[in-house]
Amino acid sequence: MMSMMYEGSIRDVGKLLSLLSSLLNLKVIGLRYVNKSLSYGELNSIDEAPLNVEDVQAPSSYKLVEEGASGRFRHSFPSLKYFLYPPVQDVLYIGRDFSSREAKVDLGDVALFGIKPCDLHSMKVFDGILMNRDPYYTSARSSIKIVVVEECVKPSKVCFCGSLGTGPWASDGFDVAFARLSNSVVFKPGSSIGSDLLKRLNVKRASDETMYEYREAMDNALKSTKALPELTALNNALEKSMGSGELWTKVSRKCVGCSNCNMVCPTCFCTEFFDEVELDESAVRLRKWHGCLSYSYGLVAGGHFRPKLYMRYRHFILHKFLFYPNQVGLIGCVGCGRCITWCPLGVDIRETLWEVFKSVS
Amino acid sequence: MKRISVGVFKLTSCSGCINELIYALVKHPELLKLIDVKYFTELQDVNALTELNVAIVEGSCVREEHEGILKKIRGLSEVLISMGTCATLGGVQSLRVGVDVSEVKKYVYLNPEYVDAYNDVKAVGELIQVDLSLRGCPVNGDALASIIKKIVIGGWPLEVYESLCADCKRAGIECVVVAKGTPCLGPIVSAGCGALCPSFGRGCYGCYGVKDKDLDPEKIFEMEKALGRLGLSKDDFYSLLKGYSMSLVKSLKI
Repeated sequence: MMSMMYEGSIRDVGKLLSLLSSLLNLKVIGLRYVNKSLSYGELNSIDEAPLNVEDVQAPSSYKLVEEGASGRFRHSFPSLKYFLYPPVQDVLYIGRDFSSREAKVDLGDVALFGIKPCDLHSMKVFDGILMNRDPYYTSARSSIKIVVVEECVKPSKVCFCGSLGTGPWASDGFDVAFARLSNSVVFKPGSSIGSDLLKRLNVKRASDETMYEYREAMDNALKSTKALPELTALNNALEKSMGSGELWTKVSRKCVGCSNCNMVCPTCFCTEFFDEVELDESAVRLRKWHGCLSYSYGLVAGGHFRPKLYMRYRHFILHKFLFYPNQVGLIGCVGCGRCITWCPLGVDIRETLWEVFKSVS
Repeated sequence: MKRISVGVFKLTSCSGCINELIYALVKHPELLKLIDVKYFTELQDVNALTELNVAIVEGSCVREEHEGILKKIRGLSEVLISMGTCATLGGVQSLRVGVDVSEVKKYVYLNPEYVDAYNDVKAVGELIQVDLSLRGCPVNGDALASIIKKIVIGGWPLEVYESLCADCKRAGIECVVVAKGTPCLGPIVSAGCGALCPSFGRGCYGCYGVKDKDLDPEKIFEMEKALGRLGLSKDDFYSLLKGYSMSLVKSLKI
């Protein structure tokens, strides 16, 4: 966390954004806030970034506030996977003679701008699962040349990255990280290109006062995002809970299996394949995001792996906390809290984890 | 490719799904060369009730006569498809279930004695075996065209059971419940329309019907509570369920 840090102003953030396109010739992708609507797209200037709005988040509730906003924007429901692993994607084009051609993904050279540490971490999880295995993800991911992260000075009420070590600051896997403090912006290089970029800005070595403010802000942010039981104990409890259908039925009582959590989760990557067949017997094979909370998930010829909804809710939680670590050495949950905010029924993963922890321990 | 014989039948319904089928055939005229229309009163004057590869039924069953017709069609057809929410789940005419039909008739018709209907409203699947159910009020014409194409070339569609929310999120639509506080039945309703209402900022009122997997009265009650907090009354909530999901309301005993 403590590499050499610099301080400057919001203008330097704008300059950094323009350097990415003017100097490095990259397409700058980030969340754009234009005409009061928020979506991933190409950022043409810093004015399009959601710097002056605030997302007020709570279980089942999301408001984007302009007036009186603290200017602390964290995230909305679209995570990076809308860009890196799109909801519907062509996979193969198949001729009537069964010859096939793979679909190609070409996003050009891209810089990701202003993503949050939790989303940066979600990319690491995706890399572990999909990189060099899934050709479409691999080529989308390889198009990313630069990553600029905004660290979270003031996390939202649903954030719990502090419990998972995935925020509120960025530790690695980025080029430049910045954090907006009360009167200044601090910058931290994460790579040699990042250092070079910072040298081109009008920034100076961060003063002791600024560093004090930064550390205090990060410390507070960390405290406010510690919302889970201690992880080793939690994982032991989850392991023990596995066979208790009664407990998992209880913790999933509000769940109706709508799969919103899967769709907004930055690390959920399951898809279903479909063939769109033409009358000349050619076809397009495409894949669509498919959530493990949906009934079709686990439905196979001759039976169903998880016919009851509680089994699928349990799988969602256990996969993140117990199975991802076996697969990729990382917990699959990044603590962004999207599944909490965007659950229409108000299911809160933090409550589930505490409930399981308390009843098993 | 062998032409398949098709019959399209109508029970109690508004013909909206049949219109969608006609639009789909107009949009994909190549399909007409691959199907041999034996029975389709909205499309042609001369019809024959004969053996069919595919029977498509619109509408729900509201009198004894319908039950006989359905059994006859089933006997004649290899594949039977229930088209739309009326045929699959009962449809909006189910709102009268629970009230004496002779009372209801008086409010609508000048000569109620001409209307032959019993008290119940039955989905096609309550009477005969259905091979494929297509929900929607009306059905999605593109889905219909895709299914006909697949059957013509000897395939079968993949049935996916998921909530409307899955389509909504894949389309990148901001949730109207969470971001606007607008009541929306999406979480408990079957996907298939492409999240049409939420794409216009409105809540789903459930015309594709409640999901037939995963839900029990307790889960439905959780949804009722969640939408109640947003101002949807209990009466309105259960009326929507009754109007578009009657056969599930019966089987779930909601």
